[in-house]
Amino acid sequence: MLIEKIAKAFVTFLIVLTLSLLILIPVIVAIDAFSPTAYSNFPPSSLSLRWFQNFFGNPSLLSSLQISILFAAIVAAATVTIGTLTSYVIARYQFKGKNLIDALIQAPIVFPGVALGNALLVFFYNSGFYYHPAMLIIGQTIIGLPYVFRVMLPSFTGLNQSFEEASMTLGANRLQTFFRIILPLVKSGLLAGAILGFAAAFNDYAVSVFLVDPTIQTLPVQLMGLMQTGVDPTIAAAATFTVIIMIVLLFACEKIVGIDKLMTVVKY
Amino acid sequence: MLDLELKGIVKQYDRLLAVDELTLSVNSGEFLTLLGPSGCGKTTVLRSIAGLEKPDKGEIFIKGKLVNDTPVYKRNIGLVFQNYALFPHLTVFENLAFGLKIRKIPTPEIKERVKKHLDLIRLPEIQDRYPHQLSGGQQQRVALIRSVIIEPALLLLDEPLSNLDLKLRVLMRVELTKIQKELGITTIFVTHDQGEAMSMSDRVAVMNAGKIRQIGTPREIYDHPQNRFVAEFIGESNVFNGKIIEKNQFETTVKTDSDLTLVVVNPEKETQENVSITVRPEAVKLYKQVPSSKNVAQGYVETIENLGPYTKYHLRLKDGSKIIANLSYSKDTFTYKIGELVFAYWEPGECTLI
Amino acid sequence: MHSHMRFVNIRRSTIQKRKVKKVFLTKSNLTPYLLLAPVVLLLVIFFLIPGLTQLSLSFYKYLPPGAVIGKLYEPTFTLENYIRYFTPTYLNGYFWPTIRIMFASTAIALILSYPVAYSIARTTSCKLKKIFMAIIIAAILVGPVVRVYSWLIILGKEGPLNSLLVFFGFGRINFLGSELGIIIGTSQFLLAYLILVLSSSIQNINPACEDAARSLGANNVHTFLRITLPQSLPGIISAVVLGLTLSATMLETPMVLGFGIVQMQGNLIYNTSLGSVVNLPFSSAASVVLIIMALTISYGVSYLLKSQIKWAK
Repeated sequence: MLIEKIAKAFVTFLIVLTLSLLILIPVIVAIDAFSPTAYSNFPPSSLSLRWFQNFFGNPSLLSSLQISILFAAIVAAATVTIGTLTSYVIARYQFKGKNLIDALIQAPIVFPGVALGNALLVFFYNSGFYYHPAMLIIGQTIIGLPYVFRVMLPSFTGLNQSFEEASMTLGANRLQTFFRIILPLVKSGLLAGAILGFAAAFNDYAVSVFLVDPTIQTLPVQLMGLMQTGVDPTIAAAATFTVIIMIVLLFACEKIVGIDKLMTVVKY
Repeated sequence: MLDLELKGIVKQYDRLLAVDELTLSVNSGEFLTLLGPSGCGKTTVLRSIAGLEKPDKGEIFIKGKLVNDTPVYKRNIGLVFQNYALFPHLTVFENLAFGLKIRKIPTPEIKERVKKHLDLIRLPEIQDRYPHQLSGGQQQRVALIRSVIIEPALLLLDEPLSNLDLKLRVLMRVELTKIQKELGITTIFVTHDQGEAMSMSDRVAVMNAGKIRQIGTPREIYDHPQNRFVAEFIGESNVFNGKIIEKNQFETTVKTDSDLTLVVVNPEKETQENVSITVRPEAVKLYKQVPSSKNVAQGYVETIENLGPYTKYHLRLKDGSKIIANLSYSKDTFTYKIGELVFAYWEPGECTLI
Repeated sequence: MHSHMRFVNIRRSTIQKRKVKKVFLTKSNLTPYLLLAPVVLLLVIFFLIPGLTQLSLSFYKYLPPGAVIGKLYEPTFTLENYIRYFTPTYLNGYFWPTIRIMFASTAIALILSYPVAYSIARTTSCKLKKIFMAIIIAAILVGPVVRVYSWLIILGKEGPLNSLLVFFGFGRINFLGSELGIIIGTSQFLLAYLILVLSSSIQNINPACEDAARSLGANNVHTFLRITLPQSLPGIISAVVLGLTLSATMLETPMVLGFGIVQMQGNLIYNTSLGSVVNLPFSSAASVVLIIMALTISYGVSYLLKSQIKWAK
């Protein structure tokens, strides 16, 4: 019995430790964001909003924030559209080379972001197509696609084929069936994919850092740059703001479709 | 007028020949059932008619028009799925209106038709509900009228009653037949359940391994199976194999492998020397003494099953073969005991030569 | 009656059979290829080709800036980049630290993740499960910047962790700029991912097995060690592969927590591509090494471990 009690205590300790680690990380950043002094006196003695004012009053940071949000939204739209089309084809059609295409789609997920960024930099530079906004969006799309696929593909393969068949026997052609029947029924996968695509693009550093230039930066790139010079609560304020954005997205997802769809992003 | 014609349909899946040179004609307003065990190809045939499968060979004519190359959505057929496939994100009304909206039917008429059909299945109040809020039986009926509301040329049903419990299934059989007769729509029904096939259909096509083994009215199929498969698949049969030893103008005499001499009325078709004789258990009567009949077999009562309206006797003959006799039960019927030696007998007209 | 029952059982297996043949009717067989063209083009042009270019670039000769105007490398075949990499400077500076950090953080993360994953998989309360899931997914969604900055604060010389150590009588440790700091940061990074993989794998273990063991007299520890743990091994292997892959390819964590003193392979690529001394062939070679390292180590480990389990799928 004693060994059971010790084991149970130990395991409970591990669980508490792990969960705290997960929750603590953003919390500490948030606390730092509200600290009154520049030098991180931890824990802070009182609360202050000066770092948020610093953040929102800094034109360069704000512009990075806008760019990040805008580009991430574009990437989300692009990845979801591509993801929908591709998942539909993979789920419903049999054709030669299916396995090859499947492998191609899943490949970027195991490819290091750093290596991809480096490769894209050289590629774009050599090709002469060296436009930072376009490069950033393309790079972030490549990074985001595999996550979106992993979430959307199950939605399509899990959709009972008889709905489409019923729709067609009632007179709807393939296009009408796709928009009136299939899309509404895979809505949850679409939303989860959009959120993941947005997050992957918004949070990306490894690829984006290769593709930015001084006038067009994303927020993570800029914040990481600031971090090289040490702890600055303005970074914390910016980071806290992005945490809030993500939590809002998470809540929206839960309210509309439930968050279990997001789980499939790490498949067993 | 032939509403449906299938000519020489062949469908092959990798190693499996699902449909083997199938030819079929269905008359206008007829209720035809494709009956057979799982894997016999009946669903493949149905889906080919609908356009959801493409046959490798053969022609399909709907109301005289060749539809092989016509896509599903242009064939104007109604298909009721086994799992109903009601669109979960649409209300009952929207489900029913779906096919009509595609055909660009004006809204007032849609409303009218929906109301009319909901009255037909006696569920006038459910139009704003979602499918998951309906019971199985209600879903089934909605699926049915969703397919007929578009006024299709054919109504196809793919084992629509299999997901219902027994009582409901029996109720729905009657309901379905009634609606079909009322609408007068040509119907093809697929099932593996004999009871459904026999009670609902104008004609039954018994299928096995991709071929139609026999087609006819339920009565014909039951009373005069034309081959061993149909004899054994439909209802129960006692089957005796043997050789023809004598044949005159009316009757054929057969010596069975179990050393019985049986007499049967001449069949319509020519038969070979090696034949089988089938007799339904309810045609077999039992008697304690030697009966005065042309077909007699003696055996021990091995098992008795009391099945309510009738009693099933399993007899074991001298050579080890079995005969099953169903004797209808009433207070005056004589009952036999296990181990008793009895005689089973039946008339030549009550058995069939195949 | 009796024959009807037989057909019901056969029908079930046919329904399974029908699910397999999902052949969709297409008028022309070109439709799937046409619809897939965008994504295939996208990936081929912006993923495959850059990747292959990088591979070939790793075999090119480096040109110091100014040697030939406008060119940073010469397209002649050479192994100089790889030769240069496999010397003690780079191996000790980048390769071995990466390996050490990979394995250490995966091991730590595995031990910490398993209990949580088990709780999530076995909890009966739907609400609790949702809360757990939300925490984990949120941890992934907030991104690397938040994570890295947080550890920057926590692991600081005057930071909370050191303050705690001092409180308990230990001395201050220089976490930042040491492998230990990076390992701590990386372990936490891996937690969320490993928990997700492990919990879905544990969920696939039939809980009736554990009940059966208990009914046969095994206590909880015994049940876990003999029944649950062995059955979760395939999931553990997947988690290990994921952990090794993710930790090998990190950039943000070692960049900030390493203070430039301790670096990982990702940093090498960054330094030689965007840093002060740009050597594109070398950075490409470093990328190739990283990819091969990440893939072979994780799948090698997976293969090794899988071969130990005779009953693995």
